[in-house]
Amino acid sequence: MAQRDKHADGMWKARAIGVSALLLSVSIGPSLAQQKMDVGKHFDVFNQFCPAAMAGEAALREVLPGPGPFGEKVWSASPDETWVTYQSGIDDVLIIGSFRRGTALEMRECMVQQITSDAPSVDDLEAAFLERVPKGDGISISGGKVEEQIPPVGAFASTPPDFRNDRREYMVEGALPVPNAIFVGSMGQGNFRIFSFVQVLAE
Amino acid sequence: MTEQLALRTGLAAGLICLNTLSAPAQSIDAAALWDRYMATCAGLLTDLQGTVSALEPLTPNSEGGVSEDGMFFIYESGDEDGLVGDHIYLGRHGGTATVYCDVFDTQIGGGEFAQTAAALREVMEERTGQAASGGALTRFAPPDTGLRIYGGHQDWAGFSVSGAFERADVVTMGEVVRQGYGGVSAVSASLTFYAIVPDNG
Repeated sequence: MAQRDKHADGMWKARAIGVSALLLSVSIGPSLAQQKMDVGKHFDVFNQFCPAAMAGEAALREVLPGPGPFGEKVWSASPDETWVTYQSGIDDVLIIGSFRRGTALEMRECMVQQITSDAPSVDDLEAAFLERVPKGDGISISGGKVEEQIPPVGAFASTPPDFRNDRREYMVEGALPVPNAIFVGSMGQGNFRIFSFVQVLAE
Repeated sequence: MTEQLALRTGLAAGLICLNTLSAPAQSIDAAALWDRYMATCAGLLTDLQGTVSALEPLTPNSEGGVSEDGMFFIYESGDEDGLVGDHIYLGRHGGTATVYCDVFDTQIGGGEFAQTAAALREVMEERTGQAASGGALTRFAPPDTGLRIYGGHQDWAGFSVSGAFERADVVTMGEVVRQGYGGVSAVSASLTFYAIVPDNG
């Protein structure tokens, strides 16, 4: 990995931030109403579905039967039925995940995410996350601020060498009722997601 | 995992729309993805401290980053058409550690979904000597979420296989997703495992 020129250049940074904001508007789509980023709602949706997902497909189907609130199918399976996925939404908050079988182990994942350009600062997102994340005996949290350098390649070629993508990444253990389930919080400008993951013996 | 890839792909597709790049499309090299998966993730199972030490040069002066407590690592690089990268989450807690290791490759305008999915499955089976489970499916996107841009449905493929590592209880998960927006298509592939490992650090 090449060392990058460290010369500060505020114009580059401003340009990158501007591009990021524009990207968000393009990526989200012109016809999609912009709702304000709501960290509390993420946790509400997560708590509604993801602990159940960590407990297993049957438990999740009780709280997330198809079709979804917008008529979406929600559940899909591979032809051999060893990979079962779900995808739905509460307003503009996405809920997505899967169950994998086919080995002696079952992998379960569940993610809640909202993408919007109407979001608080990364510092405020992180504060809101840390305020709500489970705490207490038996719960550990790792991670934190990550200053990520964007590779100046292809579509990112105009990214300035001194630009750092400010993201906050956390892994929380012991916060969910299923043993060894991890809870991850990942956030950046205009982007917030929390997800959980566990591996259990196949039933 | 590919849920994250899906959103990266959307971002990258947006970038392509903006920049209207016309570079020739490239396909995802499933074998190269596997090699990078092994190079990046395998050491975490057997020599956590040594692997972490090797990752620590991922400072803000390189293409990626590491969290202030040294427990989250990201590396991203790429070419004209896309991004390749790794995400590693660590939770270290006195003698053991929880590891989530994910490598991905996203190619804008390159690769064909079914071909990429078949290639990924093939390399997963070839390299492990085990039959992979899983296959392709269609996910229907809820209309009010960010996935609306993908036109209501997405093609995905997901595979699971053991045997990549000496530990039989570590399952490798492979995923491929095709997405598009505004006439721009992208294919992403990822390989991931999650495990609790001895921590020699």
